[in-house]
Amino acid sequence: MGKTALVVDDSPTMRQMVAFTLTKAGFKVVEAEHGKDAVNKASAGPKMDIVVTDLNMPEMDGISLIKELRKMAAFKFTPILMLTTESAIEKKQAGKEAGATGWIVKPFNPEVMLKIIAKVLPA
Amino acid sequence: MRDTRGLGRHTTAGSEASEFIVLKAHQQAWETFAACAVSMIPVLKKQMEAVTQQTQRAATDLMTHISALTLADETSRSTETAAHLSQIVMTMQFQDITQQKLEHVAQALDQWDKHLQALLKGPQDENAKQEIAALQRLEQSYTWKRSVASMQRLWRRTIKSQCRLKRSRQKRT
Repeated sequence: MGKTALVVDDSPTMRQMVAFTLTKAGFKVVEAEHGKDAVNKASAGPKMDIVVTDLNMPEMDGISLIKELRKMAAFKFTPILMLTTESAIEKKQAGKEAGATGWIVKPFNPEVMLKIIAKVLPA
Repeated sequence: MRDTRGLGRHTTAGSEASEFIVLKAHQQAWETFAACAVSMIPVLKKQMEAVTQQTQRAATDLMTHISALTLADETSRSTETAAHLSQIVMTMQFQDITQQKLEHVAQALDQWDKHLQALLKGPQDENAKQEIAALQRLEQSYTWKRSVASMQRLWRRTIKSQCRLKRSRQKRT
């Protein structure tokens, strides 16, 4: 059975690009446009195997989303990857402290993204 | 009996002095705003030029990869297609980069709009007073530019003419 990924980004283009890459790799993708939307979909939707989230978003940013997800029993050990720019060192650190598993640098190379996902996903 | 003949003159001089201080603060706020705008405009222009360049580059790259995809022969199709699709996905992300650059420009414009609205309300408005104080704090981080000098002269002339106007009104009454 294919795995399910929650993709969170306020930019429709970025969301589409991540969803396209993951769908091609066999994932079922659930899209959310900001943190609040993601929390709603995470609590109501199917079990997620991985979360890929942007950091700068309206309503609820990526760091707050990670904190919220880590409070939920279903997301205690789910890999959460942040989509961030090379220069955002402080944000990466803040994300790690909030409970993120790792990060993917934007603009991302699809092959690199899939390699990182394969590394963090439990076998 | 106390002599109160000079009291009116003192009060007038006192209110004129306080009015001068308020106008001076307002003038300084305008000068700070102008200095800030002068230094920020080239930065914002560069951001916008970068957006244009990024868009042009992305369009060219996309066309190259799409052309390669349509021209690839059957034997090399699967590996080449995957490589070109990866490049297309990477290139398409220009939208995220340009969006961030334009958001920075919009943030700066919003800030200027807020400052200008407060400054236009004049030095007696409570919001304007706060804005003027904030701008005066900003003053420390910007150096005065020659372009500000003309605004300073204009404001000095305005203050002098307002003081003269007030004195002539008082003489008449």
